[in-house]
Amino acid sequence: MVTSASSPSVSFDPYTPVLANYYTPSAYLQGDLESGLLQSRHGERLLALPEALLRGIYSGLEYETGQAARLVLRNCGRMWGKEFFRRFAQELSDYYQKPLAELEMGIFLQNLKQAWKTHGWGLIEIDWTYKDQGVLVVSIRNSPFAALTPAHFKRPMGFLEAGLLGAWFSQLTGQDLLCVQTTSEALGAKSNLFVVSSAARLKDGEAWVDSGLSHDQVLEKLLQPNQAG
Amino acid sequence: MASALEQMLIEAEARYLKPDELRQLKSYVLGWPKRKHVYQVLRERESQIVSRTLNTLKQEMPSLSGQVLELCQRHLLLLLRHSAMAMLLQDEELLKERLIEWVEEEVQLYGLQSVYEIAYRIFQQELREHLAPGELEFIRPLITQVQVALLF
Repeated sequence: MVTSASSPSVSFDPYTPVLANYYTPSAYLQGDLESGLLQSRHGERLLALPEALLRGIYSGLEYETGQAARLVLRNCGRMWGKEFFRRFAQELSDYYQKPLAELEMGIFLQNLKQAWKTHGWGLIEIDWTYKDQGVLVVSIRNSPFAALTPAHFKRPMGFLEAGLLGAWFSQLTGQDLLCVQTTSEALGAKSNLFVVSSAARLKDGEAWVDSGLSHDQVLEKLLQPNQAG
Repeated sequence: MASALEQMLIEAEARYLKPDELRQLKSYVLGWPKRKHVYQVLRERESQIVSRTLNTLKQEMPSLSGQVLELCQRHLLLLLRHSAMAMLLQDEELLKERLIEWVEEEVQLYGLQSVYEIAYRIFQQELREHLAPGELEFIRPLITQVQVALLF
């Protein structure tokens, strides 16, 4: 950590790094050509997902399990989210030398955005407008998961991301949260929007989307006082 | 992403360098002693340049909070260090990836634009005082590039 700015004669050690973007792509992603392995700067193994594999997962799951594909994707997303949160918390607390809970909000959010970007999952923004009512809105642009959704789906299919976000925010807050996708780039929307709230309040969320409710309508339903609980 | 020089060497994989490529490589090598010198000057004077910038900033904007000053200090150190490295390696792409993307988000998040308009003016002035004109011209375009990206 650099010393306080208030003293007139502070000196900075030129060999002590100034902590900033842990997820800088060129520093974070490390590969070994010889072994063909990718790993993070923290030494965790990383997996590159070819587009064909992602497409195959969507269509294979639909073929094998039909409607249950959503559930499978969501559960995979939840496991992934739990694991990703563990890694994120570990990496940042090691780097900044303090527990995640003590990181400044700005640093935390910046790293979250950068982590998304560097992993190639798109540009994530979190809208805290409704946080006092227990609802977060997450927007992801340029999502590869939306870009590779088979064209015949007529509703948002980002169950993997929804599972990931739900589990991630559950781990962060220690509450049982669910996440439902309300708009998708695959259906022509400007971004993929997700709402995150308590599992009890969002239990019918997917049914609302199935019945054709827009993002604003889902949000409105979620923010109605009788939905609280 | 590879720097312009690395990219050139990749493209020239199994052939000779073309005359203009060779010129580019030569100018990189010939410029190295001077760039290394400026890099070392910046490393030595960093503390002074940054402390003096912050002190003047505090005089001009006495109401700035400790949190903003600390952010500003961190950003100025990052600015100087990344610009020095980008200059040394002649790799401007590095500035964008490692510095601008990160700092511009924080500038927005904390609403630092008006502070930074003044901070950068003071910082540029400090650079002029710590570097000879022949040294300044090496680093100044990079600092200005960041300034433009953050403030316009």
